[in-house]
Formats: sequence, C-alpha cells, structure tokens
Amino acid sequence: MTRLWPGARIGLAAGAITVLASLIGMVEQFAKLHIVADALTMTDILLVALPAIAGALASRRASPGGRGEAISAALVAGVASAVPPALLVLVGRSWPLQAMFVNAGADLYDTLLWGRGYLALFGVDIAAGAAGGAVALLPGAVRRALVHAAVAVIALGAMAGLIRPILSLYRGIDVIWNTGTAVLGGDGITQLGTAVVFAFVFVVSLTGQPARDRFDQWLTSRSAAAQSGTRTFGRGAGVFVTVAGLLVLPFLIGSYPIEIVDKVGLFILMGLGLNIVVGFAGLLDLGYVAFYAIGAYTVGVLTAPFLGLELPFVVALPVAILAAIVAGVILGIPVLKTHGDYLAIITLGFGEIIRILAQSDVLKSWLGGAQGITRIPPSFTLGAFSLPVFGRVDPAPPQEVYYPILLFCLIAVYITWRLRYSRLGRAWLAVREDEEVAAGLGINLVGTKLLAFATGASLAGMSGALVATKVGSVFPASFGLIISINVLVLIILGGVGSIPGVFVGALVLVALPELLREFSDFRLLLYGAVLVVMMLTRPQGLWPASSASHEEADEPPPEPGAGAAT
Amino acid sequence: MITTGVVLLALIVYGSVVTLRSGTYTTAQWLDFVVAGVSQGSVYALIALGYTLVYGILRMINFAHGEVFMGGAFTTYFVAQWLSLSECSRQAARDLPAGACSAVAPLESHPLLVLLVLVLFSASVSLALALVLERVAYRPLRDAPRLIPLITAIGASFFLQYTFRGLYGSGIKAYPRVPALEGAIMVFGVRILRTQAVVIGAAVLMMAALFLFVQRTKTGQAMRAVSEDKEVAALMGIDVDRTIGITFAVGGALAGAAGVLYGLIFGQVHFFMGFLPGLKAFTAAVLGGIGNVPGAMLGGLFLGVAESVGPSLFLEGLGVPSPHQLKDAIAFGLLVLVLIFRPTGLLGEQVSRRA
Repeated sequence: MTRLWPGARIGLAAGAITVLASLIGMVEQFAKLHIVADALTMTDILLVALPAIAGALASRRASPGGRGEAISAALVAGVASAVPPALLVLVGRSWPLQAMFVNAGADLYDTLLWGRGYLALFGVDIAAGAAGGAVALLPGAVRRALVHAAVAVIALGAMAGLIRPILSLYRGIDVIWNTGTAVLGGDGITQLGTAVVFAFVFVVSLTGQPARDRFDQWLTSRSAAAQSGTRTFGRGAGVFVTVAGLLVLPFLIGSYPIEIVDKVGLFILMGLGLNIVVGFAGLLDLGYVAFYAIGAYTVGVLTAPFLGLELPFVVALPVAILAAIVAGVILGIPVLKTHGDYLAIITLGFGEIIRILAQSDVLKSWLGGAQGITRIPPSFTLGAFSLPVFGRVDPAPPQEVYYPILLFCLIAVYITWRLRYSRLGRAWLAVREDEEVAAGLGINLVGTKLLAFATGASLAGMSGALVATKVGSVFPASFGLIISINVLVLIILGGVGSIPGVFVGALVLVALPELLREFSDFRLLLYGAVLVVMMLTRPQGLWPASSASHEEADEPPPEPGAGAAT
Repeated sequence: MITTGVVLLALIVYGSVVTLRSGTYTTAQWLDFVVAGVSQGSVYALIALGYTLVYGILRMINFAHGEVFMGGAFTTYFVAQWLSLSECSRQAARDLPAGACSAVAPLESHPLLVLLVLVLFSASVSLALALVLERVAYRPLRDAPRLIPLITAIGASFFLQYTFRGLYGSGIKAYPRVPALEGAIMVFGVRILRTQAVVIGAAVLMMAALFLFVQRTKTGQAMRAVSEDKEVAALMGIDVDRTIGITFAVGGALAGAAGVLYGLIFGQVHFFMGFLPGLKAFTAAVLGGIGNVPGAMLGGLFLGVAESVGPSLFLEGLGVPSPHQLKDAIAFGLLVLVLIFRPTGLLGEQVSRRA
C-alpha cells in the first residue's frame, strides 16, 4: 500500500487542481477556445494534460524501481486524479453548491464527466496517466521532441484566430493562402494541419540539437580569427534582419496584430525602466506606475484642450519625461535609507497616493478628477510628417503609433545597454549586491540610487506620454497598482536585470493575453501563479542576465551577508 | 527630508486649528468620529498582529496576509447568509412543503452565539489558508535572498485574490444585518453603536488572549525565542518549523476573526477587500514598531482614529474639498512620516538578530 502512495498523492494533487480550475470557471471558459477545429478545445486539453502530467511525474519518481513500477505508479496517479472531480460531481449533484461557488453548475459536471459518466472520467484519466507515464520513460530527446510538437500544435491552434486575418492579407499569393487555409481552419488548426505540424516539429526537434552540435564543432575547428569573423557576421546579420523586419512589420501584418505589438512595445519601455531600478540597482519599486501616470497626465494636460494649452506633442514629450524624472528623484529621497520590504511598501504607497490624488476633487481643475482628460490629439507624427500610406484618421491608426514606439524602444534599449556596461551600471550592481561594501569602495550611494530612480522613471514617463497620445485620453483608474505588478511580473519572468529578458517577458505576458481572450479573465491569477512558480523554480528568469562576474548575480539581489545591518 | 516632515506636521496642525476654531463639528460628532476610528482601528490591529508576528520571526512581509483576511471573511459570508435565514425561509426556498418550522433565523434568536460561530469559522478558514501559504510558498524559500520571498508573497496575494474571485464571483456581497445589533448604547456619556461595541469588545478580548498566549505559554515563549534568534532557539531544542507554522496560524486566525468584524462594520465583502486593509494594517504594524505585539495593537488603533478623524480635522481646515476621498492617503502619509521621523516605530522594533 505504501508503495502506491507517492503516485496517488501526485494524482490527487492533479485532481485537486482540476477541481479548483473548474470552480473558478477556467474549465468552462476554456471550452470556448478551439484548438483543433471541430475536435478539441482547450478544456479537453486541460482535462487530459493534468492527469498525463501526474502520470509522468509519478512514473519518473518510481522509475528507479523499473518500468513496471513506473507504469503502475502512473496508473495509480491516473486513477487518483479522477477522484476529486468525481467527488465534486457527486456532491454537486446532491447539494446546492452553486449558491456558494458560482461556477458549480450542471454544465460543469457534464463537462467533467465528458458528457457520459463516471466511467468516462476515470477511463480518460487512467489512459492519460498511463500515456504520460510511458512518455516519461522514453529517451530524453524523443520525449522533448514529443512535447515540443504537442506544444506547437496547441499554440498554433490557439492563435489560429489571430493568424487567419494576417493570412487573408496575402490572399492574392496562392501558395501562402492555400497552405495557410489547409493548416488553419476557421477556428483552430485543421486535422491535416495537426498531423503536418506535429510531424514537422517532432523531426526538427529531434535533429535540431545534433545539428547545432555539429555546427559548433565545425566552428571551433576553424581558426580563431575566422571564428570571431563568423560570429560577428552572424550577429550583425541578425541585427540587420531584425531591424529591417521591425521596420516593415506594419506592412506585413494587419492592423489588429500591430495594435498588440504597440502594447508590447509600451510595456517593453516600462520593463526596461523597471529593469534598471529592480534589476540593476536592486530597489523593488512597486509604485512604478506613478511615473507612467505622470508622463501620461503631463502630455494630457499640455496637449488637450482641457486647460486650453494645446501644445504640440513635440513640446509636451520632453516636459513629460522631465516631470517623470523629477518625480523619480522626489520619490527616491525619502526611501534612500530603506531596504527590501519597506522600500517596496513605501513605493507602493506613493503609487497609490498619486492615483488617489489624480482621482480626487482637490486637483480636479488641473487633472480632471475621476473623469480624467480626454481629446488628447494624436500629434506624435510631428505635425506634417504623417505617413500618407495609412491615411490621416482620428484617432491615429495603430500602424502610425508603431513607429514612434519602435523608435523609443530602440533608444531605450541602447541607453539601457550602454548604462549596463558603464561605470554607473557597475555601481548599481555593486549597490545591489552589498551597499556597505559599495559605499566603502567610494560609490556615492545617494547619487547612484537617485540616478536609478530617475532613469527608470524617465522611461516610464516616455511610455506614459506615448500611451496618452495613442489612446487619446487619461483616466486615473487606468493607473493602478496592477500596472506596476504587470511590469514587475514581466521582468521577473524574463529575468531580472536581463535586457533580452524584458522582451521575452513582454511578449509572453502582454501578447498572450491579447491573443487568447479566453485567458483574460484569469490573467492576474496566472500572473500570481507565474510569480510564485518562477520564484520557486527559476528565479533568474527565462533569459537570465549574463553578468560580468561569474557569481550568482543573475538572481534577484541577495541580501548582504553575515554582519551587514539593513 | 526632515524639512518635509516638519512642513507636513505644520500643515496638519494649521488645518486642525482652523477646523476646531470654526466649530463645524460638535463634541458629540467628534466623539462619533473617534469611536468609529477605534472600532475600525481594532480591525486593523487584529490584522496588523499577523504581519508583525510573521515579520518578527521571518523578517518578511507576508504580502498575502490581506488575502488571508479576505478568504476567511468571504467564505464566512456564505455561512452568515445561511444562518440569517429562518428554517421556514429555507424550506420555502427549496419548495418544500411548509411543515412545522421556526420563523426565526438563528442570527436573530442567538446573535452572539452565531457571531461566535462565524468568528470561529472564519478564523479556521484563514488559519488554513495561512498554513498552506507558509508550506507551499514560503518554506522552500526561507533561506533565499530577501527579495525572492517578497515577490513570491506578491504573487501569492494576486493568485489568492483572483482565485476567490473565480470561486465566489466578482460581485460585492452584503453581509446580513444583525437585528439585535441595531441602535446605540451610551457608555460614560459617549454614544457607541452596538456593532461598534461588539467589534471593539471582541477585538480587545482577542488581543488580550494573544498577549497572554505570547507571554505566558510555552508555545508563546518558543515564538519569542525563534523571533529573537532562530539558530539559538533550534539549539535549545525548539522545533523551529512547527513554531513558524504556529505563528502563521495564529496570525491567520486573528485575521479571519477580523474579517467577520469587518463585515459587521462595513457590511460588505468582495474579493478585493483585502488589499487596502492589508496595506493599512501593515502601516499600523510599522507605526507601532514591527515585530512588537503591543505596538501593532497600538498602531492599529492610532491609524484607525487618524483615518477617521483626520479628514475632518485637518484636511477640511486646509480647504480641501471632499476630504474623505483622501482618507486612504492619510494612512500612506502616516507611513512615510513614521519612516522619516521614527523608523523603529512608536514602541520600538523587535526583530530577530541577523545571524
């Protein structure tokens, strides 16, 4: 009996997660997301994946005991994972659970039982568990290839709704259109597409690593000069292609995807800024949204007819950035002596104060109170510079905003990158690692910290200014703590202190919810889960910062060691 | 920086003087404000105790404590709802034939008993939540650099908020009114609403119990030992893991109890209700001196009164329109002031020695 317990425990956990996901409404919501057209929805995948993962974990745990042990553990996990949902249905059908749990309705129970009954539930879960257990026993490369292939199919299916409109732009080109529609149906990936994509990704994944190894071997066999030449060429070509691609992007994809890219860009700007404050200098600023708000409101106040100023954007932008910088310094001064948790709370408080003030009646005549400021002109095209290609529409089409955002992102990346490897950047890292030692080395703590705040604030101010002209209005409600948290999760996911990490984080956390509306209800829940899981498993993020030293500088700032008072 | 603090204080004094001299409010009204502040502050104090206990032992802010508070309060709402219905209404709701039933709801016939049940239930739910949090999210990270557990706590906070939103819905639920607690009583010439009296009374009882627990029992002694020096306490044979678990449990239970009291005062619960009280309770804990149990109680009361009396007292005097909008800003402002003038809090910090 005790032999079976580890597997059962994992299975029960998976079942509990299923029940939780059902009760919060995820199971029902996901049913709207079709992955394989007319065949599989996200819910199906969720309900099968959980027991499968449980089976895989159980099998892996029991594998030292041999294949038989592993498979039986997986089977046990499968059975166990069906128990909690079965209990839920049993209880739910006798008692009025829905008075308390809003999602516990008859539809949910039907879904959990696959529309047939308890046998179906147990059957599917046992089969999934066994499959997961078997896969876990396969050799590593094959296993990884299977997972990659499955993920690719699911991802494509989920994004089919987005890719179709882009495809239709190329309707004229038969090759693209025909293959595209063959693979992507109206509502997910087609069955043909599933087979093709699965096979393709599987093969690529299997042959990918060996191919890369062979390339590396070839590379190291050449002379040192040739090596660095190749590397530089590769890097240069990469940059060139990326920048060229970015420049023509609006022409390649439709206006809705560009809208998403705009949003990603704005968050990249903010992410780069917060990356400096949190990642480089180690100051956990939870009130970051305040600078964003200040940038946006400054532009609003200066350019909208609200106060009668109606200055051009070119003038308002530098003022906005300056205002944000000043705010950054003002915020930085009282918190110079605080650390870690206190710093986080105080900055959070500041962020909230700014929002409360913006919303209050006290400053209503300047900031518009709860109604905010509207009719901000989309004047970032520098007056006469509007691109005739997209036409002059009010509000400006997303393609037009794209170029200023792209420009500022590139500037921000450049600034951040240069700062990182400059004296100031090293000073920040030193302050992050150990303040007292840094001070002992002659680093001016006050100046360094204030510069971190100021630089971070300036980038947020930039982003805020852009969003004000993009959206055309500013409301205090849109500058809450949520945004600070959003940016924080973004850089944590990507990797604190890592510049490419910001891009990864922004793509995942901003683009995905936009693309997959069915997730939007659970966005913040997933953010919370991401934070916890990341901290528990991979605190250095998905694309960790490379550090000048070979120490563990990738992790969020370590606390000073023994003896240092904080 | 000192200048900023002095300027702020000057503004406060000036504003207060103006309001008082203008005589806009009678003494009775001021007393109403104060009593309201005390009852609200009691709730903050109970929540603050959770923060301070955990910080004293682990030197971390349990950012998700506000959600522990919310979890208990929100779940208990359903129990309260159920107990506010008489047997007859329940039968009618289920379309059962009207047999011999009582037309009196338990909440009406035995209000104090029902309240006790609610408090105990809420405390249990919150306790369980706190324990799960500690076990899953905090224990594995106990030795990690300090920022990591903090970020985890933030993540846990959001996760809990939206889980409860998914479970119970995003609407605001109204706590059932307790008929026996309508009206006010006069105590030493001061008018106190019955609900406020119950809240203050319950809070005082719980705080006294906690104080005795921490000071007089062996477990309390263990908690104090671990919060002074974890390693040495372990050497003395104290089970550190268990003690930390108990600390979280106690803090959680108090927060849960506070949840029911909150429901009594404000009459509503919703998934986001933990955020502001959580922040304010933390401010209160810092005010009193983080890690300091009497400090947290004092801080909570002080904050409650400041929030209640403040807007009318000095903001109005300064000519601020709709001063009560800035009520929350007062709490944050207090935090900043404390950290400028007296960072160790009113009664002094009490945190573990860094090894």
